[in-house]
Amino acid sequence: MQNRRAMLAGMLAALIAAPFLARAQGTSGQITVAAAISMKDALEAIQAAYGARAGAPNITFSLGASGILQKQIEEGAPVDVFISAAPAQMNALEGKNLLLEGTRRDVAGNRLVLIVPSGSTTVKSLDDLKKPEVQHIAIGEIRAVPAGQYAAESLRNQNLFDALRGKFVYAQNVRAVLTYVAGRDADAGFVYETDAKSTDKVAIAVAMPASSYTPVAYPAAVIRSSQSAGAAKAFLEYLSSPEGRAILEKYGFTTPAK
Amino acid sequence: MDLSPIRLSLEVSVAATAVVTLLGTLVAGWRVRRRGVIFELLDGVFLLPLVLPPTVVGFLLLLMLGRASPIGEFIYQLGLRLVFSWNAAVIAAAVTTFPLMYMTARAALEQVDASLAEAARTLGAGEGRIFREILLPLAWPGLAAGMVLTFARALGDFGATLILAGNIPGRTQTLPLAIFFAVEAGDTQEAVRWSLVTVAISLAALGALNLWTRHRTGLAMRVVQQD
Repeated sequence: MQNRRAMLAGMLAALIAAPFLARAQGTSGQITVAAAISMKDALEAIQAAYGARAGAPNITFSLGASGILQKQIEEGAPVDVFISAAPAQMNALEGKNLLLEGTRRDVAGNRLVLIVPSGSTTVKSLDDLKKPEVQHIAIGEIRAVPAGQYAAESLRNQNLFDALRGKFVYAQNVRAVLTYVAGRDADAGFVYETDAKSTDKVAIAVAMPASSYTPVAYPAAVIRSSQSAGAAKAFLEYLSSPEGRAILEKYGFTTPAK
Repeated sequence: MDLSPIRLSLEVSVAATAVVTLLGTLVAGWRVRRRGVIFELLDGVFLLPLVLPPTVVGFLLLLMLGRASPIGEFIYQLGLRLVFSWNAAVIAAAVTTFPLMYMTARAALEQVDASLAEAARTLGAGEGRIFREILLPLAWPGLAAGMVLTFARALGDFGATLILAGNIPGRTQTLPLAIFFAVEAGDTQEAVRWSLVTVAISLAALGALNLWTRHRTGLAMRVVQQD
């Protein structure tokens, strides 16, 4: 009777402890990368190429809006690497001392473009946006969406912002801009070149002049609380290596300015 | 401070409540006491906006009414600009709230004693008159509850409105949209301010609606008793 009770207690303890033990073992060859959703396709290609290497860790992605990922990391989400679509979110984490020193770097750049529904001939230059036929221009919400911030900055520098602002539909992210223009519900919209290349339902009408907006940078860093900092650093090295760069460029990303 | 989100929220919720009250009650009146698999299936369709996440409802509406679809292109050729308009905000709120009004109205109408309508019919009353003078007054408390639910939900709609009507300050940016974008921009103060305004409007409007419907309930009961 005594034995049986002890055995039952032992089994119960094992049952309760099992998931924790499994998790502890799993962390060695595993890294979690929180990244801006605009990098989805490129990162999946990176994962395939990097994962094929001997001894490469198992990479899990958590993709989302950079601002939301930033808040999750601040709340202690178990993330090893963060790749943000804009410096602001990374600066916020750096300000709270959540990054591992010396690991922050820009891994990619991007270009801002004006897109129109494919086949549309109304808009061929930025000045064409003033035409009365152009009723709705989709743009990322200026305070919250980085692509919207860059677009507003560029239009202000070209003295077009005030003339066009009455036509703006403010989208919650850059992919929503793409959806509105692809469906022809907006006559034009501002997205990154990488987004424009992801569908044939839109065409690039104008590449915004590089001098009119702050260079688009995607900063990456290892998170201080990472349990696999070594593997995380190696992954960042790979992103900046010629092989990693080549994959990112294939998806339309540019080499970072710095 | 731009107060347009308050005005737009009130306008859109009131318009959507009016449309949905009318449509929901009419459809429920048509559906009531009809039996069959087809009607059960139709109920499933009517309930979809409640089951699907609001953003999905908004996306499906955009697919249906946007220019990429034949219906949307037809509307566009008529010279109407639906997507990104005030009307789109009302449509979005109306579609997401329809199931609430429909289900409540159906239950309310089904509870009315069928023999009363039968008696009226033998006395020569037409179906329209029976609906207006017997079914509606007797079902009123239930219909009123449906209206309260509809208004409350319309005031809070975010996902469907955002996708179909877009986020245009002064034209389609209702309170929930203003709150969402204030939070996204990290402007907690503005978000809190709009949230408090929303809570105040909800309490005031629901209180007023409750008072009014109770008043109407009293009237409706008196009408029935006099008859």
